[in-house]
Amino acid sequence: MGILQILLNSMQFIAIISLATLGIVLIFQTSITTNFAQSMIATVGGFISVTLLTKYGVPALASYFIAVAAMFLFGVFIDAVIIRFARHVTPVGKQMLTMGIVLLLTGLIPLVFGNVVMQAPKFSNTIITNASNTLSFSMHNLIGFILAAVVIAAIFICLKFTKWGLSVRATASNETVAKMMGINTRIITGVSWGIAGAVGTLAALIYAPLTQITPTMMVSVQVQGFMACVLGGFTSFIGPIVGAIIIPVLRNIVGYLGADTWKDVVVYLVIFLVVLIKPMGLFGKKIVKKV
Amino acid sequence: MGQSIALRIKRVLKHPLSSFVILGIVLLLVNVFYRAGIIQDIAFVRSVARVIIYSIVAMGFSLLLGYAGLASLGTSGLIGLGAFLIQLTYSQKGIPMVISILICLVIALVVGALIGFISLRIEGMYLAIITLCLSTILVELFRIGWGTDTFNLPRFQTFFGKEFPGYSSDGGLLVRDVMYYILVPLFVIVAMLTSNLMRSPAGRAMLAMKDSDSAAKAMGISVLKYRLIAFIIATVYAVFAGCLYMFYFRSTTYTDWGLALSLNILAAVIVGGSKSLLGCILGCFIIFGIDGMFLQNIPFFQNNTNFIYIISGALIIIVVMFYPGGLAHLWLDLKILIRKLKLKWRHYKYGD
Amino acid sequence: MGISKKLLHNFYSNRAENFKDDLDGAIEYNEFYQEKQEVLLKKHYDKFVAQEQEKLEPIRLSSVLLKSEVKIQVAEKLKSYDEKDIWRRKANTQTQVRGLAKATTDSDKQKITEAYETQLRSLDKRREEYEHKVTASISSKLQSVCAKDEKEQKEKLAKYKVALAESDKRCKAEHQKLEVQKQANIKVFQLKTDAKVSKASKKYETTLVDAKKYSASKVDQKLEKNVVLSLHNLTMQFGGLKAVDNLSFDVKKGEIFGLIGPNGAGKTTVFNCITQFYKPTKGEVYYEDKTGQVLLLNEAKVHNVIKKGIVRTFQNVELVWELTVLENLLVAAHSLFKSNLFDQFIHTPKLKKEEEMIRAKALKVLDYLGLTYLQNAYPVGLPYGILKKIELARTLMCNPRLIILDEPAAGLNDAETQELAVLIKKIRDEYKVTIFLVEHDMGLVMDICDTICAISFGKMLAIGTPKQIQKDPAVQEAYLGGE
Repeated sequence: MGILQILLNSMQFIAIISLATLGIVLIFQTSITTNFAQSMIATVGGFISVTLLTKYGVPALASYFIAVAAMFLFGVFIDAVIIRFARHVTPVGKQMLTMGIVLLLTGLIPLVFGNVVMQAPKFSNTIITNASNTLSFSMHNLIGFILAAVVIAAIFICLKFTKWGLSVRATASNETVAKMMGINTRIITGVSWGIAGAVGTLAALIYAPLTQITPTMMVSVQVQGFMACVLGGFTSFIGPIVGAIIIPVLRNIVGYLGADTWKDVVVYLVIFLVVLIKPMGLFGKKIVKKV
Repeated sequence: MGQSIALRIKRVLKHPLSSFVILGIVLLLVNVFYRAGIIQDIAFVRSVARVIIYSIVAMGFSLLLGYAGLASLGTSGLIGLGAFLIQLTYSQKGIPMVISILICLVIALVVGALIGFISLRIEGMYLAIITLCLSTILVELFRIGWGTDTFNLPRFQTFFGKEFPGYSSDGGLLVRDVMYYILVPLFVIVAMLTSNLMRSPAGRAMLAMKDSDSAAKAMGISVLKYRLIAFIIATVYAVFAGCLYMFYFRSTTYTDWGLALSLNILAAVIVGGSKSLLGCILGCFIIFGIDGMFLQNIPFFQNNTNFIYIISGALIIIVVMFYPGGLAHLWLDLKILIRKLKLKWRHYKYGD
Repeated sequence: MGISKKLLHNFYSNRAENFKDDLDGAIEYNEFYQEKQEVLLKKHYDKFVAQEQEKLEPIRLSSVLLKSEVKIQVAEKLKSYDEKDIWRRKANTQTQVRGLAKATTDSDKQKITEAYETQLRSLDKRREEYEHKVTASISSKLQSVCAKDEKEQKEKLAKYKVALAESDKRCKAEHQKLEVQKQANIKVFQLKTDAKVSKASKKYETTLVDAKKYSASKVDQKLEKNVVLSLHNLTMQFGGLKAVDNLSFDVKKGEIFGLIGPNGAGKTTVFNCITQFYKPTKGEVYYEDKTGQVLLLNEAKVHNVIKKGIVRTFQNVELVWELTVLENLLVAAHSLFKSNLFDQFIHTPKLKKEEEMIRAKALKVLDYLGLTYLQNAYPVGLPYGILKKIELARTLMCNPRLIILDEPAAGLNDAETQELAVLIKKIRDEYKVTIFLVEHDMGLVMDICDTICAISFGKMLAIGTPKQIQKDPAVQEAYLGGE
């Protein structure tokens, strides 16, 4: 198995984690909250899609679309109802709020969707191999990767070139000043939460077929998405994406080198060291406060 | 004559440490009632023991969060560290109980100091992330070192030379009972020590450090020293609780010590009130106790095991949004409200 | 080689400081002990007097006329009855008021007034009955004890007077005894303290000599006789910006020194350089500490500055909002606590003694500033002027030598600023400290400062008495707007 195969194998998780991490960093920058509930919301989206597919026989594309749209609205809803009302809460408190949401949803999912463990079908079951059969690559993997790349690229382009993107960056830089400049920060943060919910759901849709559908299925994605943000730096948009590329590749490389059990330890050790040396992340900028 | 005795009792009760002693007595009675057959289910007692053990962690955490203002998500890894170290020293190497615990505490001291030094470079959220990484690394090490099996402590038949029957007996103390009767006084002692510390110059220094770094330094408080103290205490408490966990529950596996536990302890402390010890204990009771103690017996909750999460999740959200001071704060507000109502009543009746 | 010398110097200096602290602490505790003894004496004496009075009571009763004594005691009982009764009467009145407010028809109003009067009559009747009952019971009780007529009274009175005289003698003797004991206690403690002090003094002296042995030549810098703080070519550079540029001046002992300058002149930076919140880029800050040694402050750590006797306030009031006002003062005295962590975990008597003493000190300081009524209040929501006073109170907790005030008048109105001026002068006079302040309020500065230094863009403009500064053309141009 060569480096190329490792990279191909990593593409799946690069896609999933970069979507998750985009959601996390978007919310962090616009509402200064570390969203522990990112993947939980995504999980709900996953559940909606699978339930529609398997229980109600809704065609695949439609169920995906409904799930994504629903979670977009759900994200907006959470921002409008909970986060907005917690203006005065400290950052630690806001983290706690998102944790509360995690617990709430963990409890609600079985209630709403039932306790039956479901299976999600892949986007496509074909496996592509190259001529000499040395490399293999699943279609599902490819579709997922392309989807993620397109979505992320689209969001990046919007961020950089559209008026909306400018508003987001302004709000991220300083919400009060942005408000004074006439930017409706409430819509900005609401939409950010919505987008986070939507891309998270997309990640769930890619990830769900690879595992069992349980309420806690995306916990590891949440943690890795979070770690990607840490590695890349919460204060930039490109950093977390780079982090989302590094982490799966690193894991697979370590696995390839034979130390399968040490995969996660190495990753966390690397992150630990990075934060120790450069707390702001690889791409982060230090915000100096005047004493 | 009777009046002065009543006054004396009142004065003793007002002492801040008395509430812990009373709590300790109540907890001891739990096991007594169990042995006497009043409480039927062993799961109830086990739940109480679990709450007690996590409360010890929460108290250290409360000192860290509520007094020193330092965030740490590494608690679960540290408790697990205690449990696994006991496995290593007591079970595998056969080192007697008290010495194993002492070894664990020394290691905890070193780890706590390490984290304390790290905390000087890293602030706020990033500190939480680093401790999270640390905790995850520890848990991974557990998985690598001890595998995915559950680890059991061999039943100890002798205890300081006295023989105790194992798990089947009629009359006479079981080992499990002995551990419980050791657990409760230790818990009360830890609570009293922590309460003392909070009401001493060190506690005030930590609050000063939390509210205003510069003012604290100008008043002679060494930020390094007190951060170290806060982290060392929190770590030692967590590891100590882990040791106690291992001795009481006698089995563990690496999945016990995931992120979820850290978050739950954080939640318990915040829900209860980050500066109040009784609040922490209450928070632990709500988050870790109610499920095992009461709800397991109600069919609705048995079928929907995840329902408890809805309650704790909703509770966290409500407390953070409306009562950032936690339930302890709620209690104070209640007292103020009662006083206000009393005044209103007086005004109504006497027209003051 | 130089490093080991420096380490040794620091080691001995710190030890000397500790001994001096022990010294001062012992002396302070001695004073506190004496005050406590006084309080205890009063308590015991009062108890003894009360006991004597109890013993005398039967004799006294026998010496008074039945009628008059009964009258007195009944009046007393009626007083306490009335204290309770007043509430019933108030309730009655209030019921009437409420009823009248709600009543619409005249007949209702009539009914309510009637009810009120009925209740009033019944209350009066109860009082009468109570009076009768009490009079009867007291009379019967005292019947056998009190004097029945004038003749009996005269002889019993004589007896009483004799007993009273004897009791007085006993009280005086007891007071004497207690006083003697108090003096003895004080003496014993004084001896203990003296022994401690002399021991610590000796150690202090020898350690000081050792410290001086290893002192680097730089620190041999002699300050002029009455100078407590001296800045030499102080420069503070942030990247390309020179916030403070080659600033030098001396602050004399016991004076009130003012630093003025337009916004952005670098005043707060100077401030922070002195208190070691910033480490100066260039230049030295020399300071004469309590031991008479001249220190290079640049080498001190921020949290050690207070131990040398330098305290500061903050421009934005930096109180600890989660502690009460009294506890804020206790934190300010943090460096005075000698108890270690172990003591604090189990609240040893040592810690309790220290807490008691420092608490008493904090109350005294609060009293000095007229803030005693706020001791258990939280700073949140208190008026700004009061918060500034609490900040000031904090500085007095540690027996400071140099108090640095960062814009103490900021946010105060004219009256409060006047009060502040008087207060600062009072503190300087009574606590024998040097005061260094940075201020914008020209009135305050010209009023109380002995010396003023004006800076602009980090450079010194002028230094001198208020009058000189007022006349200085450079200052006028830069700051006062030219005359």
